[in-house]
Amino acid sequence: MTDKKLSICTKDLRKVFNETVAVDCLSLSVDEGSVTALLGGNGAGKSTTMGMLLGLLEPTSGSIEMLGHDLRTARDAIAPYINFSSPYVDLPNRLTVRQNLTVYGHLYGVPNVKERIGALAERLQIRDLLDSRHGSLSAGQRTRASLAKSLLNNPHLLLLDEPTASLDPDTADWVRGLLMDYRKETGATIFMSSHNMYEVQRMCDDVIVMKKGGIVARGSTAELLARFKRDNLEEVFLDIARS
Amino acid sequence: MTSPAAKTETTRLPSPLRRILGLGLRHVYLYMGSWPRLAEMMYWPILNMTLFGFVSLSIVRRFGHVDVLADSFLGGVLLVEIITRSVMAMLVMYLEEVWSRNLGHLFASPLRLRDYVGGLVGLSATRCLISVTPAFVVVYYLFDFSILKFGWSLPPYVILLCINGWWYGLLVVSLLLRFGLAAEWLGWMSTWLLIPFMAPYYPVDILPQAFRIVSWAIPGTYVFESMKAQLATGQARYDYLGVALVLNLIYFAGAAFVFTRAFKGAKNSGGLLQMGE
Repeated sequence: MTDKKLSICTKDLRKVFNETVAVDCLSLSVDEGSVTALLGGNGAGKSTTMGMLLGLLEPTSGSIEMLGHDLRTARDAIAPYINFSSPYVDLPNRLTVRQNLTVYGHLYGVPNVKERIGALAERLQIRDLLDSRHGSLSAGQRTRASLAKSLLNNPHLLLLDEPTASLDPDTADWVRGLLMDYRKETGATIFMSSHNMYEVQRMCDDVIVMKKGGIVARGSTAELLARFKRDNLEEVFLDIARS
Repeated sequence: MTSPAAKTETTRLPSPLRRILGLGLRHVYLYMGSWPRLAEMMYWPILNMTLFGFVSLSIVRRFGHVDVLADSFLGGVLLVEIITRSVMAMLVMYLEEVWSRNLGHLFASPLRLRDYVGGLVGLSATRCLISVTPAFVVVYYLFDFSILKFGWSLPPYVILLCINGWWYGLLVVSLLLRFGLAAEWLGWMSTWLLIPFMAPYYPVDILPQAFRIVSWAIPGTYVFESMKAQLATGQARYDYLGVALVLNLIYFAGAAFVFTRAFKGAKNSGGLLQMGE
């Protein structure tokens, strides 16, 4: 038996909105240091799952453990070590990138906020954008600013919702490289949702496919391709979505 | 390479003060970069004071020997500004987060709910001070009425009205948390809902009996009654101020409870993720 540490462990997680079941008995575990993708069509329950992991949505039932702590009872032991980026949750448009990063630097208790912002700006190539208002940035620049915010506290667990959405192929490729380097340097766990199958195939050790609120397939890309007898992940996704 | 799980054993949770500082900076940056927002903060109190100042002046000139009434009117307007600006500050600061779809980032961070309330209260006090101070100066130079004439009673008046504004502001924000932006107009309307019951410009006795019951249940009423008594007799009603303090503390605790429930409701319904323009 392997003694792997888990970054995320949910048990029988369920979320019901009025009478609609968005997530149903979801039990998943994510190994520390892995890059795991959460796939699924629209309404599969990915965003609801992400929301619950971030503590922004209250599960109807079930439990969530992150970094070895129960999210419901020990949020303070988890929140400083995780971060996230999502195209659906914005940073204030009227603040400059530097101001936004300073605010979140304090909220996350980042030591030497100025230096950390400088280092991240260098790494994410946003030095020239630091004093621009967030609202004036292009979609690609906003994604990079949001990624800078998500890396501010050197998170041990990074939750990413469509990290390369609205990026051109070149920038998207660069972002993937950056995330992989971050994982390599820090040993952090990356848990991401994506609709880009090429990205998932390239980055992820583990793929979880959701449908109607539950997990319908799971494994490495190679395992899923073999099981569904397909050449690429997109065909696997379509098989599952249309079944 | 250090194992991330090993690192979690040593706490890095920022202190509450640092978290509140982060929240405060968010609003300081916003106002520093937006002069219309800054100007708007001071504009309404100055406009109200000027308007009501001239109304008072016309009453004095027309009827004469009613200086106490005019002072009571001006004092009432000044103190009403303190309570309305406190409520509005809480409402606007919450709405700024909703408008910018920033609630998700805030509440996924180590910020706790009590930090958020503490931040709202601190920022509301600062915003209120910036809003009403220019109006006090305008009234002094235009109408020769100084808020300082209340002497040592002034700090309790201001503090009690601010606390009244804070718990009421928390209730208004709870309404928005629970029902989303659909309730925004209700939030704006609610800001002034209590004012007629507090009888800031007239005696409570003028109100109909049913209104008087509501009136005496509001801490602000006791402050305004004390102010009117002080202008008429030179003596503040400290017994009234004591009642206002007790009521304020009870209501603040109640409002904090309601706010916590509304926050939980928003987490249940997905409100924190969906709110935005």
